Amino acid sequence: MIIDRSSTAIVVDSTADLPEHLAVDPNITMVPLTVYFGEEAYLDWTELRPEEFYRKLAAASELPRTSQPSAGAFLEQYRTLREKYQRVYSVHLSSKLSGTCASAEVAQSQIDGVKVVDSELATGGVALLVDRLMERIDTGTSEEEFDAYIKRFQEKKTFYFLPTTLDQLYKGGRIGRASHLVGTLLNIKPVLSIDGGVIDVYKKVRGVRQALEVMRDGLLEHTDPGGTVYASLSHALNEPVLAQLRELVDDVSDRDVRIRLTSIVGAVIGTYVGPGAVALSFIQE
Amino acid sequence: MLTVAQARALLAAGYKALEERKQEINDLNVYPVPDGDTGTNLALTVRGILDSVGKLPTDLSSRELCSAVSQAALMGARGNSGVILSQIIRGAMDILGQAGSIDADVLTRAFRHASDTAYRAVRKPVEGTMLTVLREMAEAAAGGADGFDTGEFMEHVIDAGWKSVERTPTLLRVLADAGVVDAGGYGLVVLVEGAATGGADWETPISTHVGRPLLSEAPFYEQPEDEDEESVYTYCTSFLVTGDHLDPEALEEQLSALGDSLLVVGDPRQVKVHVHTDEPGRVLAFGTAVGVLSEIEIDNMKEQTAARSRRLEGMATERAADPGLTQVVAVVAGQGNKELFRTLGVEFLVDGGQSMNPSAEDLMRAVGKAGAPSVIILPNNSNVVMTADQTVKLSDREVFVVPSHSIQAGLTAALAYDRRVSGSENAEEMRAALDSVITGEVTQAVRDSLVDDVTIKAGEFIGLVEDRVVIASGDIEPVVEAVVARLLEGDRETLTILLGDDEAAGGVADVVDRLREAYPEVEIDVHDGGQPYYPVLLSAE
Repeated sequence: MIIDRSSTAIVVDSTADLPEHLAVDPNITMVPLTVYFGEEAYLDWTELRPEEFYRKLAAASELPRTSQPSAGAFLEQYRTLREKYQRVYSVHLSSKLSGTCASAEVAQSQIDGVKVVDSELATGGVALLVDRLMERIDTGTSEEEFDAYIKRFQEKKTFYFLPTTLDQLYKGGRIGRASHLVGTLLNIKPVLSIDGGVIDVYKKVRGVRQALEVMRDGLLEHTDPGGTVYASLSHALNEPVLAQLRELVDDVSDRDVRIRLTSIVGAVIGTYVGPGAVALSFIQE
Repeated sequence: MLTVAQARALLAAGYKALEERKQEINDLNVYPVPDGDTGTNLALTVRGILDSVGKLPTDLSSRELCSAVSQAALMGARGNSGVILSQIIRGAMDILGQAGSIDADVLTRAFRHASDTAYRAVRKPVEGTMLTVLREMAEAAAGGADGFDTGEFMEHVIDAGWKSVERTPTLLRVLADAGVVDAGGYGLVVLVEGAATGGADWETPISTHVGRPLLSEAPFYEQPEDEDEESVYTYCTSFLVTGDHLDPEALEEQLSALGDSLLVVGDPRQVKVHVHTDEPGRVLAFGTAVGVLSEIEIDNMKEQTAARSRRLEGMATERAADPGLTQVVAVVAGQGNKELFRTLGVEFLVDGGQSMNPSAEDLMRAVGKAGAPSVIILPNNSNVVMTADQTVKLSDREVFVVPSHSIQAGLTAALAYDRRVSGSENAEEMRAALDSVITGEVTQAVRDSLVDDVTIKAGEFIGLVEDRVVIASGDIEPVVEAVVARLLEGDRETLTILLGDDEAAGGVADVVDRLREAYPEVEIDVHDGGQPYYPVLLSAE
């Protein structure tokens, strides 16, 4: 079975925060989560784009809530896609952070030819995986190699992020292994990671620039001089800090680092990490 | 002979007791996953049975009644505890349904058989749970039927039940850590006691137990620790499969790879499945492959846990913390400073006191309290570094000294501390952190002197940067400003200020406002440290 543009489609949920060029790709379909501001419900990205979301967030008296797509919403897309494609890969954020993967799995159990992939990451990390998969779909590859790559990505990928607040992660029950940081009196900038699908603490520093350097150093520490490192950068409307991070990553000289995409953290993930957050995701191939 | 009316009365009384104490039981739940549901699950399970029995014709034979009750229990079972309860009820009904009159003898056999049935149903029975409590009640029944009338007999068994519940923390580490007894066991005794006291007329009335579910101190262990069985899975998934020729054992085999807390119980026509998994879809698929599903429930336990944690935030219970691989001893003066270190995970603080000069013995004592394999000492003063080095030699533990020369430098080092990582790795990271921070101090001169080319008069404020005097003045404000100017040379982005308990520290507030204006790119973090002698301690990174 050859995986290529004629045989294979990709489904993502809106938390992949896909940049424009991937969002409009004909082989990629996006199923949105829902964001609730009080009584009003919006489909993430489709009805509520990030800029508007962060504006609403600033004015809101209560935190927005989020909910995953129903199994039915996934099944509908799978059915439509399966009429045209033999394989559908449904790629989603960590099942330990959201019930989205589980919804997809319930749908997947009702139809064949669909594989659900738990990226074990979120936002830019998922987008990076999608980018890597699309490259292989464009070239064409065997199903075995495609599946093997997915496993490799799940094992080797790294994701760091600098949230602007820990409150939402804590209140939303997603703070994972960073829970001990809540209540720290000293003003710290926590560089967090997503490890095994769960949030963890990578390093704690005092300032933003230090935090970005820690992320860059993490890239150096977790990769070898040979091979290419593919990376994605994400930000929650924080161009200045993202530019600093980009510069640091670009300046890495003893690795071949290719920044494959930059994306904006959308409403769902943005609710948890706060406006101004930045993230770096990478994998060595 | 158990009649429908009697069964209804027993169940109604048991249900009432559970319903009344539901929240109490929910708040006890720690094992196997903190999803706070046991009380609700038990109450709903019994309610389901009660509703089914309510619909039965009153002239049903004992045997038919017991079969109906077992069936209802199986179908209405909710959650781990509900499914185990349904097995307990099934086991009890097997005996009661065939008995003539219900006496102590029959009850003894019913308890025994219920216990056996429950143990068989659980894939990995764990002591310290509902299973233990039931077993010990059955043992008490067997050992104490002589000379009691039925009422006294039940009281004896229930009493044994409560004692067993109180012992559960000695069998299960998580219970002791959380300072609670086992919720399922507690709920079971509430149910039996409720049913026995309210649902039947005994010759001797049974006195009820006013239990204290929460322990104030964690008891010690009588048994070696078992591995913690906390579930790492997200979805509590349960459903009923109806079909022909179902094979519960085969189904159990298939599902065992998908999660834990697996319970598969039933017969060839109907099987109840309960599992904690991350793949509920796949679990359901195994079910749909062999039959028709009903009563499907999928709950996100992590969301339930978060909700429960929030609710319990108000209930403070002492928890024994896992020491990790490395713990830190820091020498600190000032209440506020101590809090800063504590919230960074430093557990052992030696009071720096007025002179910041603890003895090696003081340090040894602190090191001795740590449970982790490695200990790091942060002396936070150049005078204490040597004492700390001495402690390393005196101690037979693995101790590392991270040679911080000041409290504020120590804070930067503490930031790099990670308890999950070895002592040597921590020492390396923390020492590297010290290299990145520059420190300053403001204090008051006790006499005239000439130091570092600065003339000082007694009573003047002196500013130091990296232990060198840079300025002296009668006013504190220019001293602070001069020190800050030096510290922020070289493009540093954070400035930390710790205010002492000295009166002079009060004059610093205005300076801070001016500093924020003068250095907008710098994050200025001010805390009330409370240290003596030094009105202001500063650091920049």
